[in-house]
Amino acid sequence: MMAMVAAASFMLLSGAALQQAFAHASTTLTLDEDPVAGKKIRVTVGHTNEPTYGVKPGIHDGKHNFEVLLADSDTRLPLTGASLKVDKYYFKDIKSFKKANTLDDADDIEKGVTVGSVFGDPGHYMARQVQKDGIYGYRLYGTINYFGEAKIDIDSTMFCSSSEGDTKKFNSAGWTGSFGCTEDIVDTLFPERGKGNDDAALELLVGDGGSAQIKQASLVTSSAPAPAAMNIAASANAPAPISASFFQLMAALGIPAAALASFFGIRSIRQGRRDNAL
Amino acid sequence: MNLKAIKNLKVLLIASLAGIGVAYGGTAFASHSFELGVAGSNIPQNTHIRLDGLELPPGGVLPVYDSSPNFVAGHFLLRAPCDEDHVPTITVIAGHIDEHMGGTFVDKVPLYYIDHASTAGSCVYHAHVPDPLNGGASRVTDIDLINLSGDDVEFNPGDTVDINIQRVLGSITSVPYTETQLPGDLEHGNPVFDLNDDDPDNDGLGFVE
Repeated sequence: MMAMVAAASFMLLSGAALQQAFAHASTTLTLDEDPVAGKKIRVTVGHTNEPTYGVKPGIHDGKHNFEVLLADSDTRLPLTGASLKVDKYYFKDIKSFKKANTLDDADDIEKGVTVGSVFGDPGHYMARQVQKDGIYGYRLYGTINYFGEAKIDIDSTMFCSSSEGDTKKFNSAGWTGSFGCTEDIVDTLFPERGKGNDDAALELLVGDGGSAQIKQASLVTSSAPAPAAMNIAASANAPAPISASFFQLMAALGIPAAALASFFGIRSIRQGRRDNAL
Repeated sequence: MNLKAIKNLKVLLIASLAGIGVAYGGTAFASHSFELGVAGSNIPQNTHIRLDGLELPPGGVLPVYDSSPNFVAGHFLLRAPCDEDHVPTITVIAGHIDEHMGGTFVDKVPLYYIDHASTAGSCVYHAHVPDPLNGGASRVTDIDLINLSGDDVEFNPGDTVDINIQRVLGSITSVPYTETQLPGDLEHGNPVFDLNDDDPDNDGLGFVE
């Protein structure tokens, strides 16, 4: 039992340490107000960590906040004091997106969300969110302050970029680059489901409820000893040496707890049998 | 399955979940890379150079800072000989000096004269690196002192350069200059602002009354 629970702990944690990349879209605004007429502001938008994956309880938190970075275009000095809001549009898939004629056809809409400044990080603004798999678009609007000497309004829309089709039809003009749409984390499994001897271990990742995950954990340990299962989990997170020590720490905490669980559980079963025999 | 057995199974399940919960304790799913925990672009760095006893001939250059390929943001302090208009006799230039002449762009640094710290024939100046409102090079990897006055410049006791770099803003390789301006293209005399005199027209931009 101890090994089962420990293995379950490691496998569940593996989703939290996936590799991350960074991709954003940017546009430029030109000030027309003296004394800074002609100066340019660089507006960069995207998600706080890429690639983005939808929330999958027990596997991935889906926390990919919408973020905005404001800077003077020439110097790249960050711009503080902006007042920004975002209207968020969500389409569940490319089919739904293609069918839409206006933004109002989106599967879900949230308007007027404040994009607040991030404490201690000048020029960085963010609206927190947990994502589902699908296509996200944002209408960013508000006022940007240029070093206290001028202000400029922004009202611009940008959608994520999908590998399944063109998602630019609602984009405002002037954006370059892109940020990725939100994918299903199960698509990243390697080996894929149904291949190799680790089917049971992979099944653990795609299970939906906590009890299902524990059930699958028992399958993992029936086909491989606990240390091997631990190695599988650790190698899945190989890019970060920190992850290895993190897992070791989790093992130190999880194994004693699992041992206690086993002890009280088995004792309870034995007691039950004794009661039945009497 | 009788009631007793169901109860036993419940105990096992709850205890097991508790074990997993301990393993996750407080760190589960967290990805705080968007918070200030990642401070990879910050360089807490200070450069202090004593100038006393140095003499720069006409055309002489004293390089005082080079962070290539990173362009940086920070604060610049200079104490140096100056004329009656508080213009320093050496010229402070900044920008990027590339190995390739075509990739080089430098400009004169806008200076703020600090009257209440200036004594004994030398003037004290502050400057913002870079200064997007008052001019100068927009991306700074290099700072130099150059004598464009046509005469020898001899520094006084206590003269110094102090440069405090607080942040890396980017890499010049990803945002290169597209225009060339060499040190020899410049003429003597930095723009000098003074917030403390009676002239409100030489305060520069970026200061609110």
